Formats: sequence, C-alpha cells, structure tokens
Amino acid sequence: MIRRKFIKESSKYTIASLGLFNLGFAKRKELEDLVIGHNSHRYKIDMSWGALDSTVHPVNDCHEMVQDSKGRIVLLTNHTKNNVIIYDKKGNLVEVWGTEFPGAHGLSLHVENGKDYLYITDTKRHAVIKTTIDGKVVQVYPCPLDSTEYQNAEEYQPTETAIADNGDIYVADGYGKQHILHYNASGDLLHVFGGRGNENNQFNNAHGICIDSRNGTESLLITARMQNKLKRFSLEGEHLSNIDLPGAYICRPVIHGEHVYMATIWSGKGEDNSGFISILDNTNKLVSAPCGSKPKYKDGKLTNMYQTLKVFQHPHDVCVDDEENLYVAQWNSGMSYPIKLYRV
Amino acid sequence: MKSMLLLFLLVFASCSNKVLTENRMQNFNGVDFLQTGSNESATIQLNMPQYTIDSMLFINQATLELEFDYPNADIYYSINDGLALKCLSKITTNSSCTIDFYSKATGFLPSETQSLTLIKVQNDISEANISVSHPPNDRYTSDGTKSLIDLKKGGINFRDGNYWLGFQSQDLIITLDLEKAIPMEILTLSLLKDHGAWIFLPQEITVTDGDSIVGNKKIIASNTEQQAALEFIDIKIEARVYQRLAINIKSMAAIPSWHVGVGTPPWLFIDEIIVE
Repeated sequence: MIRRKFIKESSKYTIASLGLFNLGFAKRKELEDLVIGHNSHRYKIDMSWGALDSTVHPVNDCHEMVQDSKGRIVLLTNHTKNNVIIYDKKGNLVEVWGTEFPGAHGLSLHVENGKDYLYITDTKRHAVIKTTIDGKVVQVYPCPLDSTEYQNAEEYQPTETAIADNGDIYVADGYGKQHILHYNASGDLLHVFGGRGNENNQFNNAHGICIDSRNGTESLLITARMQNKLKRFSLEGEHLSNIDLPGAYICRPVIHGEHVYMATIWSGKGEDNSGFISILDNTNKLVSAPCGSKPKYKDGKLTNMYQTLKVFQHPHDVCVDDEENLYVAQWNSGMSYPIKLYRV
Repeated sequence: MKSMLLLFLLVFASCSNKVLTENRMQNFNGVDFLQTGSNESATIQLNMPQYTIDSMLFINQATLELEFDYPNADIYYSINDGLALKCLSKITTNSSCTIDFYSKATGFLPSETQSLTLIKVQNDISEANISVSHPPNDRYTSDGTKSLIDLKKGGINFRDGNYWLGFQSQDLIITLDLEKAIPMEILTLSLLKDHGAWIFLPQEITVTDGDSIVGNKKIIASNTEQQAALEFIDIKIEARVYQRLAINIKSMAAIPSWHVGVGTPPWLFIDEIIVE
C-alpha cells in the first residue's frame, strides 16, 4: 500500500512532466525565471524561440546549427520539406531551402574568399555536400570507394566535417566505420585514420569533429561519444591526448573564444531524455553544465556527469552566437524547434 | 461574461481541492512525502538520483550508493514497500529486495521513481556450457554467451556493449548445459525494456527439458510507451532436478502500431540467466 502511494505520487508528476514540450503559460513563465549553468556560464531559457507553424515549416530531428557571417542562425533538419531553416537571432524566420538531404546530419560553415559555404553531411546519401549559403550545390564528396577502407557506400555514414585554415577538409564517419577522412581543398583524399575500436587512436561513435587553434596551432578535437571522451589528434592524424567527460555522451565540440561547447545527448547511465550542455574552459576543464550536475573534480579527475533538471531531452548541437547566447538543436525530441539560452 | 466567471470559479474550486488533498498527504507515515506550497505550482521536474551498485546479483551482500547533487535536493528511498526514508548514506542488503528511490527539492517536481531489484543468487552456474541458436548483433555481443551466466548485471545503458546481448529476430533458443544436475523450480531471465530504443520484452518464454515443456510464461505486451527498465522475468518450472534446459524466447513479430517503429522487428536484450 505504501509502495503504491510512493509510485502513485511520483508517477503523477511524471505524467505532468510529459507536457514539458507542450508548454503552458505556467511552465513557460517558470522556465523564463530559471537560471541554469554554473560559474561563469549561466543562462535563462527561451523554449519558444524559433517555433514555426509545423504544417508549413516542419522539422524532424534538429541536428545542427551555425551562425553565418550576416549574424543569422542556420538550422539543419532531416525533414526534406525544408532541410535548412534560417532565422534571425530573435527566432524570426528568414528563409528556408533544401529538399534533398534525407539524412541531413552535420552542418559546418566555412568562409572562403569572403563567402559563406556550408558543408552538410548526409548519412542516408552517404556523402558530404558543399553548398553556398543559399543552397546551391558546389561539390559532393561521395563515399571514397577507391580507398581500401570502404567496399560499398552504405558503410559510409558521415556525421560531421571540419575545415582547416588551408582549406583541408576532415570528415568524421561517425555512424559508419569510424574513420576520419582527410581531403585537401581540391577534394583529393589524402589520408584515412581512426577506425572502430577502443584504442586511443580509435573511436566508438566518432560523432563530431572541429579544428582547435586556441593555443596558436591547429589540432583536431574529435568526439568518441560512446567512450565519453574528446580525442585530440594532429592534423596529420596522430593521436595526441584525451579529455575524459565521464557520463557525458557528447555530440560535436564547438569552439567559441576560449571555450568548448558540447550538446550532451545522454548522460549518467545513458538513459533517454537525460541531456544537458557541457562547457569546457581554456584548460579543457568543465566549467559549466546547464541542466547537468555541478562540475566536480576529485584527485584531478572529473566525476561522473548527469542531468539534474529535465529541461532538455536529447540535445544534439549547440550554436554560440556573437552575443554569447546559445541555441540548442535536439534530436528525437518530439519534432520540437531549437531552444535559445540567454547568457546572464 | 457570467459564464466565464462561472468557469473561473469551477477551475479555482478544482485547484483548491487538489491543494487540500495533497496537504493531507504530508506527514504520510511520518515522512514529509510531498512538499506542497511552492512545489504545488512547480512544473520543472528533477532527474532521478544516480546510483552505483557493486552488484545487482550477489552471493553475500550488495551495497547501493545514491547521488543527486542539486541545491536543497534530497533523495528518498523505500525497501520492499516499506517506509520512505531520506537517504543519508550507503544502503546495504544481504537479501533479495526491491529498492525504490527518487529526488525532491522545493520548487521542483519530484523526479520519476527508479526501482531496482537486487537478487541474492543461490546457484552459481558460471561453469555451465551455454549456446544460442543464432549470434547476437555485432554491436551487442558483450563477452559472448558466457556473459549470460557470469553474474555481471548490465544497466540501462546498453549502448556500451559491455553486458547485454542484443538480438533482432523473432525466436531465440538458449541451451544451458550444467556441470551437474541441480534442483530447480524457478528460472529467471534478466531483460531490458527500452521502448525509446525499440527494445521490447518478448511475448512468450518456454523452457524445455528434452522434448518436455517444463515451464512457460506469456507476457502481455504494453500498449503505451513505458520508461526504460531492467526486468527480471521469472518462469516457474516443474520442481525437480535438471542438467540440460532449452529456453525458447519468442519475440513479437513486429513493433506494435502505437510505436514510431511500427512494423519493424523489435530488439531483445538479455544479460543474465538465474536458476533457483
């Protein structure tokens, strides 16, 4: 009897919480008043940012976001009615394009000769597609079947790209064979490294990749999501070091200023709907975890991270704008639009 | 205008009743179970406490540690439907039990309740020969079939591939060949249910000794999405001595219509077999 009440009471609140993403006034107000995060990086939440008429501009998974040179926020979704949705910073719709990216997943922006270009990875087309900012296809990087690593295109499911200063392109095959593919600016495949495994130079879910030049020289930061690690490699593919993030199933690293921002899609023991945001400082120490547990180091090692407040479901990417505000795109979260976090 | 006022009064009255009901539940068995007041209007929910346990399957004793680091948050737990207590230290048990726990803080909804079943194992069958009718998926092989009898229990996180064997086929037959015959009356399968990851419980389990059916259990399929959970499924078998048993696990042919994965084969995840 006692247990039945125990379960009954907590399940009542579970049912109540299911309405989280179907926001009523009270919840919206409470979220607006809440400050999340720790230390220098604290935020207020706007759950309504970017919400559109889903019958006109629908989303499935909101996978990644970037800010373009005009200050606009570019969202990539795998809904082929409008794969790319461009907003202003207030969340007003500016334009949409893209109907040919069923597996739209990774979105990187690179400025070349003063023009913005997007690199879209498509896990279903098994390719990376470079486009102009308004959607004109410039180049397609298909599965490199002429390398010895791939026998058929289905083995290749690229999740992310990073572009170095010299124009070299690095592709993370995060849902495929876990290789990192290194192309020159002309699109010639130079080198393949990584691969599936538990060694330091291997990956289990090489989901994201970025160029880190915070210390003056370029290196690669690559996600090993199921290993709860960021792995640092030289641009030539030599493993250099690891950053352990126990309990954090991180998506891609996003460098803004001196900090690294990461959407954490699952946490703790990997339960569904257990996501939060992770922010590392210039020494790669966790400084803030909005909706996650307080950063705690014991004997120099980060203790296990986990979600504390159920605000996010499955954060998949963080975009940091020029005012230090965050935009959080979510995977498998009820076809919801991105969430904006205002720095306080 | 009058009808709007009436509607407002009705809503107000219904809210007031709710407050009274919950106020009465304070001091429930001496424990301040639900903090009303500020929590009454709360809409943001806490996550469940994190747990670490030395072993959910144990020979002598098991120790559970709970953690939830959020300002002014407490953890409550109960053992075997007993009194709910505030968790202040590690929890140790030397007998099989179920422990429920959740987190609570003023101004927030309490977390969902996590329920853990800890089992004191009577028979160590780790030296048995065990085989499966077809191999698990490459991503979920653990350390092979022996991991089904190694007394190492997997957690909710099946993705690390460390404990669970994952199958995506309708029928699986596991054959267990013990070193010597032992008396048995219950065979328990440790399974994972995680509808969000398309992992479902099977619909029927049949245990045979040679050509004889010695135990059978049908599992009623849920018709709504449920929270991910570790499940121990007991199959009562004819009480006698056994040395070789076959366990036929029949999964649903396809994921049911209420689920986004409708029509595709569900996953079956198993990590331990226990005999008593």
